[in-house]
Amino acid sequence: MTETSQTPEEFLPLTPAVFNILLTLADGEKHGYGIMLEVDANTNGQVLMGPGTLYGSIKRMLQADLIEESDERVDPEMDDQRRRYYRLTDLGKRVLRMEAERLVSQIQIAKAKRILTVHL
Amino acid sequence: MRNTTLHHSSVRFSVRIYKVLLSAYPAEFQKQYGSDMLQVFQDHCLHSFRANGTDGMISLWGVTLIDFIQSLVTEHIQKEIYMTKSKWIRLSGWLLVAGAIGFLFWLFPVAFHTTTFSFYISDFLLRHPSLDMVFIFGNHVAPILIGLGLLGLYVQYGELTGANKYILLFGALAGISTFLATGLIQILTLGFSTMRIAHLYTSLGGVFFMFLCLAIFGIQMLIKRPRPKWNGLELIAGCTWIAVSPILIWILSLHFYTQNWLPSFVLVAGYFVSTTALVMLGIDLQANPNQEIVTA
Repeated sequence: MTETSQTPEEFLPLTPAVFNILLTLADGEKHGYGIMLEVDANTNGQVLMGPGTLYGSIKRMLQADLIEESDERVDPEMDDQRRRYYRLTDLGKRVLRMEAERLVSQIQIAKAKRILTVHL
Repeated sequence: MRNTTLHHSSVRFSVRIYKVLLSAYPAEFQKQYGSDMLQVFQDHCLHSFRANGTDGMISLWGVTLIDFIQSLVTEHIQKEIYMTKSKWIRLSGWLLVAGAIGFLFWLFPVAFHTTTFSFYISDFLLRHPSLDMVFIFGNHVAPILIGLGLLGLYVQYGELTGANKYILLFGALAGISTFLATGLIQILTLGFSTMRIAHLYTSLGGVFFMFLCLAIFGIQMLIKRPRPKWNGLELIAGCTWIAVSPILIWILSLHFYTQNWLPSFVLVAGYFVSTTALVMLGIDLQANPNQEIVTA
């Protein structure tokens, strides 16, 4: 894997696919299909992610050191096929937190301009 | 029972088709992620069929085909960018070596014009008609090649040096454009053999700025240390050039106004160090063009 010395700020803003993959991995490691299902559930199907987008994003996130492979094992809830699991790196966690904060600040601007009336 | 058979056959058929589609991705991507993608697609097929039957499969194929086309284009473009980037970095390494050596051919005669050394080397280069092109190359082309070489450095190491990469980019472009513009004006108005001092100062100013930007970029390279060794080459090349350039301006001014040449060993030593550093940078660039720096 290529080591990068990029600061978290340089990754922002993230694409919806990258942000949602990072968000999915925030509570623990997952395999490819697990990520896809959770992204679909978290976004109510608004972020459509097929295998091509999923693994293209995973490839770039591995190269950028945002995620790492943990191991390859069987998912007991699915079948007996071995799957590659992915987890967040420290850099990935920082980038995710900064992107979330950036989105919150955008929402606060929207609230200040009375576009949003919901309380968060 | 019939449903289970259909389930298996339609899923198997879909997986078979998707396996064929996967062969359209770049070989490296396919090798790394092909089996995982196939597994995910199969999981998705089973899930969709269990949840919504044939309708689920049809809508899954709709989404998958869009995803296939989008990701196929992205992966192929990225592969091409990567290939082009490698070729450019390798070429820029050679350009940097050629530019650095060519520039020295011009600077040596200027610095050593009245010494014994010049009798053997400088005057030979300056007066020998067949070698006059070497002087012209050093004067008019070499700084542009150095600028192009610095653009290769920007492509290779720019991502590692954060916002400082733009200093190098700006410096290289400013150096190239200044030298091109003044060179063209001079050639169009005076030809190759004579030079107006204003043109000379402007073009040297552009080169000075280019080396200043290289030195600033070099500080960041020294901090980030992207190479296993010799991370101070940019700083050495930039600083020595900047340090001895006032001597060059002094020598040239003296010649233009009094027709005298002042030999300077300090100038030659400085340019020799700077050239050596540039040549080493060029060799490193052409030898390691595949260091990939990627952003998500």
